[in-house]
Amino acid sequence: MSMKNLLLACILAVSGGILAQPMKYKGSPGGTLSFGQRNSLSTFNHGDEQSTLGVGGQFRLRLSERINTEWFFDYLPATNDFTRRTDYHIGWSVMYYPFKTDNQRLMPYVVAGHCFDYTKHRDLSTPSNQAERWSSAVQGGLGMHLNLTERLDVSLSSQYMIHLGTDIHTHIENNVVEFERQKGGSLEGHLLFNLSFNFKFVDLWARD
Amino acid sequence: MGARLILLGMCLIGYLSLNAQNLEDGQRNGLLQATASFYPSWMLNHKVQNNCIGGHFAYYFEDHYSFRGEILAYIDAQGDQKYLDKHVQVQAGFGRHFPIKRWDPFVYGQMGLSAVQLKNYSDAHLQPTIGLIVGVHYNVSRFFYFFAEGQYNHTNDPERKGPMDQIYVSGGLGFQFPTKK
Repeated sequence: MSMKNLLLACILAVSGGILAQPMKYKGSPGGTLSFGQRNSLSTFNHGDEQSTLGVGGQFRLRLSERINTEWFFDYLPATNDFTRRTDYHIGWSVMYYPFKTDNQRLMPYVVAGHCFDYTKHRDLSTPSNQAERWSSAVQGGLGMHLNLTERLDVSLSSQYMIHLGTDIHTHIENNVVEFERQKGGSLEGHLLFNLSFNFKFVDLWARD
Repeated sequence: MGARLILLGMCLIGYLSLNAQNLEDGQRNGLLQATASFYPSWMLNHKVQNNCIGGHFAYYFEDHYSFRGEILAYIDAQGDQKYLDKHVQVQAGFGRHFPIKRWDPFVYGQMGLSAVQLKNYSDAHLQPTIGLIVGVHYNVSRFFYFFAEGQYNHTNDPERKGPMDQIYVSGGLGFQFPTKK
């Protein structure tokens, strides 16, 4: 074993010990940095498009006792009858806790934010036949943290996301898939449900 | 090289002597576990059974909660009926444990990605996967445990509309290491 590997093993053992310690807050929970993984269920509003199971990651930086921020990335592929649609979301949200938050097992919140979306449609039988678009979006909704431990929470939220951008419609003409890009801007919305596991690593505001 | 190994061994013995965790009392905080095993699976939407190999590691950040990462790789189908050509999954999640002396029943929720290529298709795809695992550990000693578990994995089919879910079972020997006093 090289000294580099030995050093890595020591760092892992020490950092493992640190993560097993209780959180040390300096005053309010503002400054708490947490990382999480999330699953998204997206219900698209187009006629025969399949609802989508997505996976992604996020980090949260809590600004004060009542305000938290969430920065996320989602990957959402869906296979339909003739096409495969893939969406990538990258965005952020602000979460507001309307009720007191100290030592609460359940913490409801109101959430709203912005998102950028890249969508790609591909013909299943002819992969070279494809179309793509970029759009921006706003989203808002309600959520709930279930604090399992001082460091770990499970969060469930439901948000409506409205995209502003050129929409792509799929048509079947003579057994051939045709993608039609709509001219001008259009509003396209879908309902998103997110389930996430989040682990609080550190209070960044604590200075000692 | 030999001197370094001796030094490493002495450090390890010294470190472990400081980490006297009592597993018989249900103490798990700081325990780091790893294993590899064989995972037979049943596809729920097709009449196909598969063989996979895989492994996981887990870290207990409290006596009742742990983080777990897992990798599973498809080897081949158990019979002539094949649905998959390639399938590798990487998942991570959190688990709740219910320790009773040396026994450790648990449930994990996991999320991750599958790289899937179906039989007779040329393209591989990345598909989101969610998993629910139920099982039990028996802590044989501070460094070894036996385990048995069942796992339900949900993944959508990359080439057709619909799910491609599987049930996996596994068991065997695992290794563990206390990282906290």
